[in-house]
Amino acid sequence: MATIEIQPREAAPAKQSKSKIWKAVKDSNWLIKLCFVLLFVLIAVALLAPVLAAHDPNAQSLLSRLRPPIGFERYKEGYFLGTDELGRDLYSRLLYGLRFTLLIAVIGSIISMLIGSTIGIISGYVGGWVDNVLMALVDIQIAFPFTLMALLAVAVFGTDLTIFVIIIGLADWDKYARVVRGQVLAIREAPYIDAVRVTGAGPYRIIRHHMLANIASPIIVLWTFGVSNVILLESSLSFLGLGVQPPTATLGSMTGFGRDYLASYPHIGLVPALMILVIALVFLLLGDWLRDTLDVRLKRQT
Amino acid sequence: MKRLFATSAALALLTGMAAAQELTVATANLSAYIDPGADHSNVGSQFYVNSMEPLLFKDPTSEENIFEPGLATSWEITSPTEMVLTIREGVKFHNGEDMTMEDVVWSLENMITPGYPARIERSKEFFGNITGVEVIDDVTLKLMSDKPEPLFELILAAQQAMILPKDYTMGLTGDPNATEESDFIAFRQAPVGTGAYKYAEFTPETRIVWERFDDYWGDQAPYETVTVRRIPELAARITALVNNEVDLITNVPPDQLDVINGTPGFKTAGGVTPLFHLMYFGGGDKGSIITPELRKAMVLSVDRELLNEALWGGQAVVPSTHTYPQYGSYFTPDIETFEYDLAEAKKIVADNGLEGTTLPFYTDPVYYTNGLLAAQAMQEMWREIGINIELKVVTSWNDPGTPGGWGSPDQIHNWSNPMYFADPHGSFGKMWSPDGAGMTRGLWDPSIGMEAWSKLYDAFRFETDIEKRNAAYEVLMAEVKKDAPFLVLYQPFESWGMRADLDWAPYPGHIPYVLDFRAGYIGDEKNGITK
Repeated sequence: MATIEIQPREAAPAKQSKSKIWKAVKDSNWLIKLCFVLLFVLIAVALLAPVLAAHDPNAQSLLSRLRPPIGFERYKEGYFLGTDELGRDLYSRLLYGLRFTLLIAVIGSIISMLIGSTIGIISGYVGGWVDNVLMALVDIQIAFPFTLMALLAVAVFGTDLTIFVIIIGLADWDKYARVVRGQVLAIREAPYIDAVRVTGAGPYRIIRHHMLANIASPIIVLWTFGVSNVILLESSLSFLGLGVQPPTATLGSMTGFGRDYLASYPHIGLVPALMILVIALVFLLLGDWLRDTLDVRLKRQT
Repeated sequence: MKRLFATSAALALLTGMAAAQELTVATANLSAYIDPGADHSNVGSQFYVNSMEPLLFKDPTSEENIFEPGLATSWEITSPTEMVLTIREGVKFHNGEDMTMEDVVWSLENMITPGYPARIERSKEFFGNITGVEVIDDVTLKLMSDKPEPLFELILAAQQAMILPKDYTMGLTGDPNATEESDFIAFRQAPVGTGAYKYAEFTPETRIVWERFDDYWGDQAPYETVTVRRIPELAARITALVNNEVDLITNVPPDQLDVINGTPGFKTAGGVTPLFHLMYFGGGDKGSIITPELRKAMVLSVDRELLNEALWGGQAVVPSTHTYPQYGSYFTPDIETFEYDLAEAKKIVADNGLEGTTLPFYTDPVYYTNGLLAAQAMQEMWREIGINIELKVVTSWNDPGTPGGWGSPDQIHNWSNPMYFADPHGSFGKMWSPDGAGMTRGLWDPSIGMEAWSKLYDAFRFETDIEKRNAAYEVLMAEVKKDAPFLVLYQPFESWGMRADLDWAPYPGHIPYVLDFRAGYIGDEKNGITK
């Protein structure tokens, strides 16, 4: 019997050194650099919302409702993005809305990632009927219109923030499950895994220490896409009135309430809608870039 | 783009000329069922007058109570407890059958002592004092009351007293010779009346198509077809109007009037509506959190004038008590039932340790014009006195058995008290008399006890002397002030948007929101219809 050549796979992306990532950022084009700056600014603004906000986001001044942004007639001093349908400061609500939307998106997409990856790993590693059952679940999830499921869940459990985040978390797991399962299948029989198995390692150890690191890159890439998906989902559900309850500001609910005033006071809906556009775009472009950077196969071709 | 608009406008004009007389209406809400005897909703009241008729008509153009012959040609109040009517001959139902005395008696009896549970509330509210009907001959009928009834005509002119076909309804399900509950349930989806338009299509909560009823006994309906579509979103409704998809839209709040009036070819009509928006405390005193002190503090801390100024541009009417100018000599604007006193509210909260109380407020997103905005504005006003409100914006806000549904305790809710007829009994009584909808649903347990409340109420209800009756009403209002079971916010300023060449406006003599498209009540240049 020939000796098995134990050879670690190419450097696992999760273990890429910091300097390599930094170098990749430095080598990226101006658009990606701009996205990084924007991401940093968005996160900073979301974290610092209480400091940056000019007013309490829920404080109303009913007699100054529907005021336009600075530079327009009827502008109200101190409310530079204008006021909304209840005289609340649009700028302050935008900051808090951003904070809430990002929070929901990050937690929601992490839940999706955890559920999806776990199912994908089990499915790929165990195989057999377990694989069949889990993949059937994935097919069901893909086939079922998600908005309908969200409507049903809201009808049954009510409009509670925790439930909303869980619903958001359940939206995207099928994508992770599919991709992770494929990755696990690809490396399950790899020589280095066999070698580890020969040394007596159990499934937990194999998955935790030898597989996860190697499938981390597609998970991370998927997650960045997932965040932007979830932001859009939060927005559409809140727009439909299924999301976070008023007066709490999220970008989606702000856009939703602004739609009644699109003809008369468009700034109320446009300002949060533009913000959604910016965040979703930043995450999508960075996800795209990450995929290009982390994918070893793509790299080899260039 | 301009050319595209021009072309589509020309097309619209051409098709308009070629097609039959048609009208398309977009409403914010549309009924789930059609049954004038069970219905008392603002949604439902839009859709009856064109198709169903009571024995007496009330002149819709006048705020005064002027009665005209309807399905009865004449009537006489022969004693304080008796009224005699002559039934109109030659009236046909939409299904082709003749309306007979049997239909009239059956319709009234099914309101006086209804076998159909959905009608019980309406029966108590409108027919509580009516004991029965007696046929004198083929065309003459006598109506009797228990106590002297000063409101005979108002009751018989109400939507709830509309005449329905006996044989048709009984034949809908089961035994064609028996009135069964299932007959009424089936009728709701396949309604038939005697009015100027028949229901050609009824898709619950979605669409109603009215067609001209050629065998109508009165003036022929001006339109061949009227189509009503539900478009709940305000922005979508306005877009549908200005894109010529519809001719008329409902429920336009004041801050959108400029958008419509500023678009060439379109206008708005409307005014102060004989209806109160209000908020009530769910579950009466059965709730554990809602104490009389809490109610009092919350009612005192709502600045209704500010709500009016901000949300309605000052065009709504903030009343001092539960009264409408249409009541004539029974209009009592001098009574002070609802006040704004922030200092007193804060004091009550402090004295009773109410600070930090948290309550849910249930509202539909679109049912009431400005309803959600008002709820959010009040949420801030209550925060001012230390009461936290969690808004629950759900379309199932009224469904019994759901949190926030009718009768569920420890919650706040918005509601309306329309003027069903121009008498305090037709609005306050309809909701808050011992048999009123609010009481039946357990929204208020009067602190003096139900028996005492009943006595006070009857002393007002059946009094015939104007001054004594008003004094008795003042006593009732004092109880409302003391218990603070609800707060009347305002009479909303409701508007309808339409093509500029439509000559239509809501009529002051109708109950709120009636869409009256009968002959003489709508003019339409495009379709060559004059009022």
